[in-house]
Amino acid sequence: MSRVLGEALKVVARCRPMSRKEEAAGSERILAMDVKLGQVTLQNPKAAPGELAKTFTFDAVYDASSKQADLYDETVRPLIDSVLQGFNGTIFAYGQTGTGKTYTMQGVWADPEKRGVIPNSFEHIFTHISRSQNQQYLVRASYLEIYQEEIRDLLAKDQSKKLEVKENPETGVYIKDLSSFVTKNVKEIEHVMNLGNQTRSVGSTNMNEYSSRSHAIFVITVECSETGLDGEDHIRVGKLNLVDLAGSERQSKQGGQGERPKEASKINLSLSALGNVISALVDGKSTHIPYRDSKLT
Amino acid sequence: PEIIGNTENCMFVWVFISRFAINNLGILWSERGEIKTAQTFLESAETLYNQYMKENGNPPLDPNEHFMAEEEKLKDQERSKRFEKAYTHTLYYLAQVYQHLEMIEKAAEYCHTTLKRQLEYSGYYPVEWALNAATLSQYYLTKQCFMESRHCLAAANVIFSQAGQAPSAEDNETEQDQQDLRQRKAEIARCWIKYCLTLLQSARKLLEDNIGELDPDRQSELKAQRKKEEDEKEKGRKKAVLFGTSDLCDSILATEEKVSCLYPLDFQEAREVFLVGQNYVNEAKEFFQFDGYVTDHIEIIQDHSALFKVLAFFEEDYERRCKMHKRRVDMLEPMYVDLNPQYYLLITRQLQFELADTYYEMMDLKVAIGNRLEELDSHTIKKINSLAQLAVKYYELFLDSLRNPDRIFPEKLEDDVLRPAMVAKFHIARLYGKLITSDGKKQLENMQTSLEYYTFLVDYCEKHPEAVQAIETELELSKEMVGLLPTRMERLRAKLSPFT
Repeated sequence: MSRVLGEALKVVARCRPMSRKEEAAGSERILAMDVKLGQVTLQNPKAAPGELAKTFTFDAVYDASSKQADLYDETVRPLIDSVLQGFNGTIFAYGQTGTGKTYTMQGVWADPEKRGVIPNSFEHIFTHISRSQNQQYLVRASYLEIYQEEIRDLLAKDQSKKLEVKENPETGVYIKDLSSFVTKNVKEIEHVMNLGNQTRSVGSTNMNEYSSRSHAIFVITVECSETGLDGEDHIRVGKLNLVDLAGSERQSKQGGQGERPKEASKINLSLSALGNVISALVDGKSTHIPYRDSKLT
Repeated sequence: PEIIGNTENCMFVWVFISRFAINNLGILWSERGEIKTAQTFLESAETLYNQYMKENGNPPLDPNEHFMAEEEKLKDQERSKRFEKAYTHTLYYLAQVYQHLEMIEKAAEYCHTTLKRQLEYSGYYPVEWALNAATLSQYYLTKQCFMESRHCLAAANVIFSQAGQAPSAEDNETEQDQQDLRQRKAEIARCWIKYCLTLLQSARKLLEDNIGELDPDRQSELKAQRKKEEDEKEKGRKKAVLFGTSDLCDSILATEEKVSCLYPLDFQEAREVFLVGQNYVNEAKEFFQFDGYVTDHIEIIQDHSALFKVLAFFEEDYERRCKMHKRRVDMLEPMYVDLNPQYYLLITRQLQFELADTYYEMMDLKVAIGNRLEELDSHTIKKINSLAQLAVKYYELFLDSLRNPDRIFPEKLEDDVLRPAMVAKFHIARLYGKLITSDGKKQLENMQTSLEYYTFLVDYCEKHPEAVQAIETELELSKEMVGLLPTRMERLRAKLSPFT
């Protein structure tokens, strides 16, 4: 029996403090945050006279002085609670390279004050489980990476095998043959994550560039079994997706030219792109355009 | 730039221009000015090539050759190959330039020529070439150019089969590669399905009258016109850009002859196109199975259903038509039952609506068949009622899918569901009006329900006047019924209880 689950979407913005380099260079602060109103205001330093600052409103806003624990308690804790109840949740950090995504998501594991969303989530989940009385829990973890239209299972022994996205009529989209591991405590799930992180960095010469162009998704599945009043076992399954998105800055094929104001209309010199040119001519409705590479689009 | 008569200079200028243009193109541009510049250079290169080949015919010396010793100079064949390959690229770049300038027809023409030259001069990868040709065929479909579309598809089939034949140069051709090959073949089959479907649907548009039935006068007109145009078609074909060297040409022609590119004008012709489409459906389904490729599989089945629907248009006999619609229900319903609407909401709604429409169509046919008999027998009545109820069931399921999590029907409907929702309400109203019962009380109930649904439409359009243009015809009829029904119901009530 299927239920339409009430899934809410929350968008939260966080600003990092200026780095030492930026302060030393005398960089101007162009961002102002109003935590009470949940607003971010951008002032263009090169603005024409009379140009107004732009203001954006979010569900919550965290300025440079915000603490990891505050962010977790206000924004993430309720989500983890609902996953433990059997709902699905996804957290992802979006932003350019260098804006602090990793600090927010991972933080400094060793420092309890500086732990990020992920270690705090792990702690939260297993603390809840250890306190539960009438329920049986099973926690599984999977870790996959998407890079250049290919999916990699970061936990698989055979790294040469690329994974496929498939669809099941009953359960929807899934990744075929994605491995998952049962984890019984924080140490074990941390271990799984580290394993995956190590695999991630293997096989790329420039780690920074690589991680800034690939997405990684850590999936935690929490199964809870409870004996109901009717004497039957009721099972709830909640899924938590922790997504580390690629840097959102424009990836320039010509090597770091930076941003261009308009869509780059570059001529492709190689005939291998002929297919893309032809596809672009077809105006979709009563036609079928054959897939070229993968089903990830 | 002027075209210089001297061939040596001609060659220098050509090489200079095309090389310069190519360098230009490597630069990112954001202003239209630069695209136009590239266009000028490339078109000049094109003109020079044509001029030069007309006057001379032999490939010019590659510029590097001027600095080589005699024995190092390229052989004629190699020189020719490089020259032609460079020109193919010129045309390919022009295709992209035209695309950016939104001159789509010209872009397509140049893509077509590029493909042709790939077969004749450059190397090509069979699978990639086949997919590109199949994609180009879809462009031609949007322009109703069925001859060109068919040619591209036939060529795709022939060239693709070359891939299967090549001895696995890499002996570690993995299972993945085999699967990729099968998938690509199935993709090409899907392009063929669209070809057959579009050809049939376009023919239908030409032949139908204002109530959606085949107009025999139009049919005769078009048949006569076709006879006249037979000569024109032949000339057209000779002028068209055809693929392939002579042996390829024969294979392509053989494939083309399996299906027509002319509008089918009667049932026989329609059926032939239908059967080709159905074959490709079966081929595509083999790879894109339901479990694993839900979305793709359903799209293929929807196409199959559409093929039956359009074939039914050409079928004169109502019973046989009904059987065709029954085939549609039989293929759509099992998929619908197994789908989880939580993950496939859009597809679920599409299927609900299509199933409802199909049952509705079948009911209408049974009524029409019944009207030809002296009187309706109980079997036919039962059939009509059952079909009507099934249609209602699916329209209701569709409408239910629009409710919010609290099960309340939305106050205002989104643009993309507005018309279908209104049509569903309208059809339900009409269906309750079609139910046949000898029980007067039941009949009153049906009329009441009917009235409620017609009223809903009228009320909604009053509250949301912007919705009117989406359902003008239905609204008109609904207003009429809202006026007529109460009176009819009164009369019936009076008849049923004359003594109170």
